[in-house]
Amino acid sequence: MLSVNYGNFLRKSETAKAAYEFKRPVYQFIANTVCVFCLAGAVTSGLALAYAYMATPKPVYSQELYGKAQSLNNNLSRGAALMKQGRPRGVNAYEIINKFANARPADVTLTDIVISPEQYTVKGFTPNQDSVNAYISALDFGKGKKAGVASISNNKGTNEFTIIVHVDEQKAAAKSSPQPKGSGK
Amino acid sequence: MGSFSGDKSNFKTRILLAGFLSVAALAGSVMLSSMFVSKMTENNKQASNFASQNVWLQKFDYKDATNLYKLILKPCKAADVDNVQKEQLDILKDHKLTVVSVKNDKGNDKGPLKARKTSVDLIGDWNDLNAALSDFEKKHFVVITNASVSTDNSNGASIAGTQGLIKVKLDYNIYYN
Repeated sequence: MLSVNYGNFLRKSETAKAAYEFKRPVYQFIANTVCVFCLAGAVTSGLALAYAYMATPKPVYSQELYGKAQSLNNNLSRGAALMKQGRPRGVNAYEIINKFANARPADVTLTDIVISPEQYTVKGFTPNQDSVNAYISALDFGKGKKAGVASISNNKGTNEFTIIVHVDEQKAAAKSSPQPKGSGK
Repeated sequence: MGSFSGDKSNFKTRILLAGFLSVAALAGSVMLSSMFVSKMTENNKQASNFASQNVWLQKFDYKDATNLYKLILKPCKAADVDNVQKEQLDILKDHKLTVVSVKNDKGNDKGPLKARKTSVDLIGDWNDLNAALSDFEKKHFVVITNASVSTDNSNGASIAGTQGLIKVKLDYNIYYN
């Protein structure tokens, strides 16, 4: 038997209403699905956040000890900085005087030593001019401190000399380190 | 759309409720995810900090550092400057140096490192001077900033020699806070 299409005998509004009624379960399904999906997402995010809070790392060392160590380290740094600041251009009179005295060859006699942060001056005399060169070679005050003969004159066979050690402020400051009690040699 | 707005059944309420819940859940999800990400970033940073602090603490020798800190000279209290001055002069006298004159200047009384500047003239033997200078900067935070050592030509002395007397002028700072 052949089917016969008799057409739509409903009014337009009735057709729309019938279609709406027909599709309502689909709309409901879609709305519920989206809602469940979003809620699941929110719950998952919440659980992840809870895990993140529970997994907050804990230090494996004593916080108190760390605090004390930090404090001590800061005090050390501050103390060292003060000591460095208190010694302009790293000047150490005891070291310098000893260096001038100990580096001199046997035939060199010293008459004056003048020390300031900017330069060190030593005056003396010797019968042998080569001893002045030997002396100046032996005067090694380290980086940023360069010794040079300022003057030399011969007076009745005696060579009177003046040696000046100039201190480069930046290089000397970079080199000079704090000197704890008892190491001032 | 006209059918939905005209719908008086529970269906409309359920759809609207589902829509509202979806939007709220989506917003919550975004917010919680954002919090999770920032918390995990913070955790990672904290873990990294703890690890580096632990390594630092392992390497830090507390005992050595404490001993070193004891060795570092500290500025004295302002009220103790006179006592420190006396002790410094005593060091010179104890080493048989003759203190000819002592002059106190105002020095620097500003900034983190205040200082009293002192100028002292001495006469003595080279070995005594050497011994005195060796002890001079050990006990208190005192630094000799300028020094002048010269032979007293009248008695035929020489620096680093053992005979005769030498004249010494020392400028030093006594640091206090």
